[in-house]
Amino acid sequence: MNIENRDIENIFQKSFSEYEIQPSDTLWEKLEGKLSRKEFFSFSPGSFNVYYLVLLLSAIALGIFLMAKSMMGTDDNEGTKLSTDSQIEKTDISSGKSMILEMNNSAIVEESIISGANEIDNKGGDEDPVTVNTKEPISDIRTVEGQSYVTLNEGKMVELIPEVKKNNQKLQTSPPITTDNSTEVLISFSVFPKSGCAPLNVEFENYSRIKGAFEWHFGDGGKSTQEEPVYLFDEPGEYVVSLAVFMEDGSVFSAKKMIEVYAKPKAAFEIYHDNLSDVGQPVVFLNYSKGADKNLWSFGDGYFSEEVSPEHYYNETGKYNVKLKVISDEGCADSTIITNAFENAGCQIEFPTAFLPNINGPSNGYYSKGLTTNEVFHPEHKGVMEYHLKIFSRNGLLIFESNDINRGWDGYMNDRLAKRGVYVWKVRGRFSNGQTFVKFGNVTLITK
Amino acid sequence: MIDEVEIIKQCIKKDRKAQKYLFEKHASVLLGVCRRYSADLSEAEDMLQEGFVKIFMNLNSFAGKGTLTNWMIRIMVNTAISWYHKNTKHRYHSDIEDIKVDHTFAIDNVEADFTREELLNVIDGLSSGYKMVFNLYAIEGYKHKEIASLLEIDINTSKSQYSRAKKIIREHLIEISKRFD
Repeated sequence: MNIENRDIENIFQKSFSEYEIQPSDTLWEKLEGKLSRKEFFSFSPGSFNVYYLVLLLSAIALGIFLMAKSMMGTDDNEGTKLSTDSQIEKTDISSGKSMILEMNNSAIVEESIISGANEIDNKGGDEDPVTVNTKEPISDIRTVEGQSYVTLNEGKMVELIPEVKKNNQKLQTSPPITTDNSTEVLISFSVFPKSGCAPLNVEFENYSRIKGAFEWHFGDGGKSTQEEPVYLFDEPGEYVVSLAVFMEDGSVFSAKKMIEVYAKPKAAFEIYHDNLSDVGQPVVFLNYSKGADKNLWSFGDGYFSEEVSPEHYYNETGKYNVKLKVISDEGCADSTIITNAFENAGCQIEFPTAFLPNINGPSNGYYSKGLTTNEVFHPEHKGVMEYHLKIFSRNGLLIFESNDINRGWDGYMNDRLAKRGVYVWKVRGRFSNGQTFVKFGNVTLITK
Repeated sequence: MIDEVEIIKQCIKKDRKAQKYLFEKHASVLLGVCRRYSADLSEAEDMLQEGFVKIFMNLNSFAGKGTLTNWMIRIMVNTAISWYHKNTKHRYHSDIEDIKVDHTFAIDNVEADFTREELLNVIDGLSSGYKMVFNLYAIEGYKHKEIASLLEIDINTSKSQYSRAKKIIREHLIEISKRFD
């Protein structure tokens, strides 16, 4: 007679058909959150969702891109911003005149150098100067066999005559040449990093397409002739770094960039009240830092502060490392630490090397602190919390022991005066700042 | 009396107040359903949330056929099945098998009513596959053909798992009812 199958189904159906469980209070909130997310990520024409967001962001991005395109000059090799601070300079040493092509749209050319003639002057042969349109972009500057050529984007090459030729030749004035952002850079370099805290190590990468003798001027007096130097700026400041390339024909190209080196702050502090044994008194920290905009204190007991010169109460005596980290607004930091800041502040224990016991008989060993009498062998001490002294004969026989720092050895053993000579003492204990100590030494028992 | 049709319309429009009302009205029943398909209350509540998201996102497809409650229960059971496929199926679990059966003892001899907690305990102890089949067949009333398709198993597997599950449940119920002696 087993339980019928139907019965099991009945039992369960009956029991669970109206089974209700109260949901926890926070459930609706959680559900709401999930719903919002789900609704956002699914499309519905009536409400704002991720698709509209994507559309909106693309529209904005497109807008920004179009705006930037119309404003932007050439890309320099860092790729990020318009380098209004980078220029190409071509100098002809013999004529002393220079042409400057700037990398953004507001490029001007110093006059009287470029041979782009206003009219066509057909001299025949390969050296015909060609009219240069004022708005044509330049894609390359090249020196070939002593002659400089400017290549326009259409592929036309224009000869650059950097000097006035002979008298009967027409002095050709130049119309301004502008560049647009499709101009390729002939001489350029990148710096990493562009700014930072002193001392700042900067790496220079040379992307110049022309080869010649490189000369770097770092703006603080330093120079280098390496192709890709690494330079350390040790002092804060703004530096214009320039790279000059000397060509075989004597012409020079150069480019410049700016580097900013921030001053590093200097962390320094002093502890004013360094006797931790006065529990209940705060410890005061005096801040002598320079250039600090933010002060981060760590008191070594798990507590911190951002005040300039804080006060702090320590709950118990002990060893604490106090650290101060200072940060400037540019993010440069310095830190300093005083380890075991309260070590041995006022804590010490010292034993004499000899003593002269009283021959009249043993005492209880208690001595008055400060008394100069050396009838009892005892230490000079300060801040001792725990104390255990043992005195041994030369043979290692323990002859005296005391746990009370106020009780020293009167020189007697079993009520008899100990023999004169050298004894060994050993003391273990703990100071009030938590530090334990173990000391030992010899003491001479002197008798008259 | 709050008009259910109105509430549904508002929920479709993503009116949070309406949604909260619907939730509060049906959550406890649906949580009871979820509890049967999960290992504990916490998992049941997670399942409930997932189910309700599905409910709210699909309310516009509730055509009024049958009651709203039954429709929601169906969605909740579907959620439980998806949950099973995603989470539970792969979990390690040991089957309670083969406890000694006292065949001389008939359960219908005993007047004992089993409490919900006891019954819940028993099915909680089933391995997840058996539990799913048992829930769907014995309580939800699905046929084996439907269960096989939902759980992606063979129809014969569904049948044998169901009878196995019942056997185990029977044994446990007998054990429990013995304690009333």
